[in-house]
Parts: sequence; C-alpha cells; structure tokens
Amino acid sequence: MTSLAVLVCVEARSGMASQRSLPDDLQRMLDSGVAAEKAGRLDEAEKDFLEVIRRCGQCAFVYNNLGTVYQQRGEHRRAIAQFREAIRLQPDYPAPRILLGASLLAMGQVPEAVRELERAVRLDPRNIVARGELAKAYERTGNLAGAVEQYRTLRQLAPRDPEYMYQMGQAYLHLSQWCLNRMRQLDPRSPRIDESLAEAYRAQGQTELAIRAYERAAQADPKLPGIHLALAQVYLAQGRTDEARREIERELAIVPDSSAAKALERRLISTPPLP
Amino acid sequence: MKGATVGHRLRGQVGAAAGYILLMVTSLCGQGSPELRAGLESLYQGDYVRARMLAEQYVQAHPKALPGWLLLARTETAQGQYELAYQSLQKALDLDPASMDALYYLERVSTILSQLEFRRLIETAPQSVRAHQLMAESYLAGHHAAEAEKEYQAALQVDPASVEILNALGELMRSQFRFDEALVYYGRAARLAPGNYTSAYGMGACYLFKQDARHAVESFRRALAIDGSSAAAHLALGDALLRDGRASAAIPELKTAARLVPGMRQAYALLARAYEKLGQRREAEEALQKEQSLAREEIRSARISGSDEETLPRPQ
Repeated sequence: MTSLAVLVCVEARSGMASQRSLPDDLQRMLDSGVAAEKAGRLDEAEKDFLEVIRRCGQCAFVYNNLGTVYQQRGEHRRAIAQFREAIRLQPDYPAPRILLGASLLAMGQVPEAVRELERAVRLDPRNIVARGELAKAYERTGNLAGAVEQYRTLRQLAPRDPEYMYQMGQAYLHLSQWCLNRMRQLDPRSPRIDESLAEAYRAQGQTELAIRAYERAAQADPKLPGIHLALAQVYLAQGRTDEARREIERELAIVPDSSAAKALERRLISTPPLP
Repeated sequence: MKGATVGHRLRGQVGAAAGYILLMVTSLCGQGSPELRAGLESLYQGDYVRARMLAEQYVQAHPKALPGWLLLARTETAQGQYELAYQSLQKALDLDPASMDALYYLERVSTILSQLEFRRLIETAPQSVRAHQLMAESYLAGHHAAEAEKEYQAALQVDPASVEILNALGELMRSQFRFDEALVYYGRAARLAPGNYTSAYGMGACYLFKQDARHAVESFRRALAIDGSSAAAHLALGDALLRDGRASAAIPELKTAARLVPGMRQAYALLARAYEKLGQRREAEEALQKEQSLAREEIRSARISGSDEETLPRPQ
C-alpha cells in the first residue's frame, strides 16, 4: 500500500497541470508535508496537509495527499473520505479514484472498488497503476477474463516489466484452474476433466498418473478422439510399442483421417515389435 | 544452470502443449454443417490453412454458432496463435457459458499462455524478483524445497523489503517445521506491513506448533483484526484458546468458523473437545456427531468424484 500511495502521488504531481497554484507559504507547507510523508513521518505530513486544507480549502490534490497518509496508516475509512472529497472537487482527477479503489479493496468493498478503478482507467487509459489495481480487483470478484485483459494491456504499456509478465502468467493459470473447477461443477463425470488432468500430469512428467487419467477419459467416452492418440504417444515414449500400436489402431478407428495418428502409425511400423 | 532447469521444465511443458495441440486438433465436436465438416477434416488432415479459412468463413456467416468458434480456436491453436485462440474461446463461452468443450479448450490454451508468459519472464529478466519467485514456485511444485529456498533467498537479495517473498520464506520454513526461522521471516514481513494477514496468521501457526498458545492467541487475534471473515483464523484462534485452557472463549470462535464454512469438520471436532472440557456432555456429543457426519460426507464425495487430485498439478 505504501508504494502504491507514493507511486500514485508521484504520478499525480507530475501530471498536475490543472491544479490550482498555492500561495508561496502554503506551497512550502505542502512540499514539507510531501517530504515528511516520503520519509515516513506520517503525523507530521498529516498536520501539514490539514493546515493547507484549512487555509486553502478547495484543493483536490491536498485532500488526495491527506488520504494517502491515512491509507498508509491503514485508516481506510478516513482515507476514503479524503479521496471522495478530492473526487468531488475534481471529478476528472484519476489519482484519488485509484487510491479510493485500493482502500475500498482493503476494506473488502470490492464491487465499489471495481467501479472506481474502471472510472480511473477510463480517465487515464495509459495509467499503469490504475490498470494494475483494476486487475487485482477483477481477480477478487472472480472476473479472471477481465484481469487477463488488464494484464494484456499492461504488458503492452510496459513490455519489459517482469511484474506484468509474472502477473499475466498467474492470471492465465488461475483462469485455467477456474475452467477445470467450472467443468467439475457442470459435469463431474465428464471425460474432459480427466483429459485436462492427463495433459497437466504429462507436462509435469508424471507419466503414470497421465496414463491413468487418459484411461479414465477413454473409459468414460470410448469414442472421444485424441485420447488414444495421446496414450499412443506416451506409450511410445516409454518404449511400450505394443500398447502404442493398440492405441493407434483405436484412434484410427475413431478418426480415420487423422494425419497425426497416421504419422505415429508409420513410426510404429518402422519400429520392430518386442520379441 | 538453475535457469536451464526451470527453462527445461517450462520448455517441456510447452513441448507437451504440442501434444495437447494434437489432442485439440483431433477432438470432434458439433460437425453438423458441411462447412464445419470440411473444416474438421482439413484440421485432422493437418491442412491448418484451409481449416482456418473455412472456420473464419463459417463464423462470419454464423457468428452466434458455437461450433464455428470452437473450430476457429482449434485451428488457431494448431497454428500456434494462442492469443487469437484465447479470444475465439472467450467468444464461444459468451455464446454458451456451460460449454464443456469451450471450457476444456480454454483451460488448455490458458495453460499454454501462462507457460509462455513465464518463459518470457525467465528469459527477459532472469535476475528479477519475480523470476526468482517463479523459479522458487516451480521448484516447490516439484518438491525441491532446498532449491526453492535458494531462489527465494536470491529474490530477497534483490528486494530485501519484499513482504511477499518474506512471507513465502516463512511459509516454506513452516512447512519444514523450522518454526524459529519462519517466525523471523514472518516478523520481518509484519514489521514492514503491519496490516498483512499472511504474516500474522503464519506467526500464530508457528507459535501453536511450538506449544506457545499465548503468543498464538495474540497473533491469530491480529490476523482476525485484519480479516475478520477468515474461517481458518477463527478456527486457529479457537484451537489456541482451547490449548491455553480457555475453552469457553474458544467456543464462539469455533462456532464462527463453522458458520463461515459449514463443512469445516475440524471446527466441530474442536467444539466437541471444548464442550467436553466444560462438562457439557450433550453439546459435546452433538458436535462429535456433526463431525462424524461431515467425515462420512467427505468420504462419499471423494468416491463419487473418483479423481486422484482436486486441482490441476502445475507450478503455482
């Protein structure tokens, strides 16, 4: 949370062409507050920001900064109030919406957080922080496709950032797990479930478990194309050519035109049978 | 070398994806119309260009027909265009959210995409925190704890203030019963992020194992202050209170855990013990019967599902 607040504030200040300029003494107090916040002296920062607000009044960015102080302390209710005030004063200001979204997430108010973060992204589509927070919010609501879309955009905005490669990979992984869970809910006996498990076991090198899962899938639906081909491949890799031949024959009985099955059959023909 | 090991594993997984692609190609689904049949035949015959052309023509003419999108996704996958396949499958699921075929293919394509992304990470930024973390998680999935620990330590070298990595090390130490070491890592994480649930809960679990019920109670209370909806934390707090001789304080926590997760068998087992300690025999018996009924239900469910594993075996 600390790094989010600092990051958003830095971005906010760098883009604040439209902010009201303060008198010199208030500007100095504001700068002092910002420095104190960066140094972790949150009480001092709070005092400075409150004084600027008391004397300046309608300054959205100062309310935003005050909100970040409360957010860093974990006082999310107070933070939310400041961010809402900043938004009320300047509805097109993305930073408080991003930070508001983060505090709402921290308080478990996820649907509302999603709404604020979506608005922040609409206001500033290239804002990486906004999209990152929105992706997290989507994950919390189970909208994995939404999370994937945000990470895809983040990958385009920051193609060499390892953070988004990692998060993107994780998002796809969660989505694949979601698909398996959904298949289980819809039809726990579906051979597709065992197919998925078999492929995963195979990728992990757990061949015996893969074989058992393929066999369960084949038992559940003997005419499901591809299963016998996969078994043939696995058996061939293990040197079990007789079993591989048997599976290829089964595959070709279901899909006579399968070029993959024919190619494997040719390979088996050129492999001498075991004595 | 470590990159080669994980890279090899990732390459193996992507290579196994090629096997999966063959599976996708040869699976039959919804071959109703002549165009779809022709497209499927081309797919089986390995003529992916023709199959793709026929699929695209079909979805253009019949944008709300699920089989067309599935065929298109399968041809895109066969041609290694996984991101396009992903988009086609999302469209398929929009048309029919309960399509087992669409879910199956999406599960497979998502797996491939995740592995490609992870491989990109390892190749592009091998010394980044995330790359070390990914490698650690990969080692953990393969039960290579020592290598995983080295990777987490390397990640910590890059970013000593990473709460995520500190917690991961805490979890790893805890899983190996190295509770004192785990407490150090959790403690560091908690100091950096006092509102972090994982470190609070982890510390509680360590103290519980070390038979330090008093500190366990403090830590679990802290975890619940962060996330009051955690059934696991309520259960653990109830357990700690019970061990600390505070059975009457344990009962509301255990009841909350059972309310949050109605099938939480352990909550009823502990409730039975708590009531027993308080001499409330009838309540103890009721809790025990509930626990036994849940145990029977678990066995029955396991028999029906019949699969070895609940989740897909993969790196985290």
